[in-house]
Amino acid sequence: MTREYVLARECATCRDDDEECPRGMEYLNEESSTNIKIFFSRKEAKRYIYEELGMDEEEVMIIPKEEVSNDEQ
Amino acid sequence: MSEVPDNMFSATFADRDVERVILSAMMREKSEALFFMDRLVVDDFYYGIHQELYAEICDSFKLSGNTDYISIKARFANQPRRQEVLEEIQDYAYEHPIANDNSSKLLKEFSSKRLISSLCTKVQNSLNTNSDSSDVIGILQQESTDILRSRDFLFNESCVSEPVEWVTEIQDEMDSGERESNDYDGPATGMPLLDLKMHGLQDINVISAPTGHGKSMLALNWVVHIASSNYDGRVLYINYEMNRKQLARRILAMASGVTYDEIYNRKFRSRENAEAYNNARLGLLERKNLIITGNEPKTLGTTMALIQEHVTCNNVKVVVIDHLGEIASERDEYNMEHWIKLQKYVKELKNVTTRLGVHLVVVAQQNREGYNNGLGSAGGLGRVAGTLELSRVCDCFINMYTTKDGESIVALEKNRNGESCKFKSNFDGARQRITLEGIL
Repeated sequence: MTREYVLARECATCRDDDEECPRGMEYLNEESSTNIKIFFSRKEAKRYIYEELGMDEEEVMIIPKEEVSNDEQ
Repeated sequence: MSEVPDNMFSATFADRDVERVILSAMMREKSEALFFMDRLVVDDFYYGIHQELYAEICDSFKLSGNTDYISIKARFANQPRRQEVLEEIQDYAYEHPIANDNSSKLLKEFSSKRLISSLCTKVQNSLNTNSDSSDVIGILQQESTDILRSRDFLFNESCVSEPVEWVTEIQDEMDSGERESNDYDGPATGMPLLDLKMHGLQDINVISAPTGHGKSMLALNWVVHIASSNYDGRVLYINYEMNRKQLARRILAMASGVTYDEIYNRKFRSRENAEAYNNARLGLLERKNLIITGNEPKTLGTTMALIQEHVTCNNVKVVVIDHLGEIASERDEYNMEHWIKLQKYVKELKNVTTRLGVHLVVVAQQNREGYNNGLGSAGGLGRVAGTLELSRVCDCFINMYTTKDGESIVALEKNRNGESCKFKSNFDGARQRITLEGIL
């Protein structure tokens, strides 16, 4: 079975606006939808982080989809 | 490379690291596992895999008493991803040293936020399907209370106390020296004889009597005393019977010692009375610690919302319900038996006041048996209009009646702070004051 991955990062608003605010998480959505974007390999996810988002793995985490709570998916 | 658009990521309330720190700490020490098991539930974790690991650690502890890394890993044989995560997190608690109480508070905070967020969605959907506004408010009230209760349970620590905690609590009090007179855990009622037995206001206090026996007057006497003393909380008097002017005049009469008639007629018998009235008025305005309501009908939902709002935002620490039988029925309660309805009110009120940690005074009417039967044995715990529940949950129960010789009695029939007893009472109707004469 192919493993699926999602991209997540520390909530930017919490991080930038309020140091006291406990950190939340943000998940990368599909374009023009609120569904979480799924990647079918770690490699594909990594490529997206570097090439499409212009970020690195320090800023964005690759998380196996099965770990994310069902309500979110 | 262009900036990442803001809306590409959607926020959720979770912290993966905190969840992992907690799981790691649970595998480090059995005592730490117990600490978290006492405070958290599976749904407090956001990530599916963390939920599984937490549930497995709990099960393992219940079955064998083990929570160490090797035992937990063995329970996930043939599940490489779980084993991988376990391996990743086993040293997490050392690498990210967060105090256990802070990590559990943080986790609970995220969990509450998720619950609130899903409650908002539920309510929005309910509105979209054209539900009654009162039903939607019911959902909001019920579920928000549950969320607060679950969160506060953590903030007030677990409900279980080891002997070292509860014995030390009392010993610490002992070590702080003798209690001064008039110093109680709750505010004093202002009636020295009653305070001697009750030791101030308790958590749930019931005043019960048939009509015209001075229930409201007794509650108001307490309230005015608390509002005039240096008590650091405010008082909310939820009134269902008297109109606001009547209530305000009674309070001013009690606070000043001037008769109700003088205030009503706006004509004082002496200069001293005018001054006393003025001082009482200024005192109430200056302290701003007595909040009253008018007598417009209020349902249980409205009453609970009033309590919640004023306790949370206005530092209210004492709430008076005058009286229980007058709480207005909701539409779905019309067909309910009166006593079942009262029982429901009592339970809800107890829950909300216990959760918020306020002192509650409930004024309750007695049923017909409560009236003086001519033999001087009127009233009693079982005769409060319709509800045994109230007498069961209260900490102190006061019954007021008149004997066959016409003596007015204030009987402390249940007292969780000491013995029960009876007092002979004097009513000064003109000045709205009640004094107790002696223990019978």
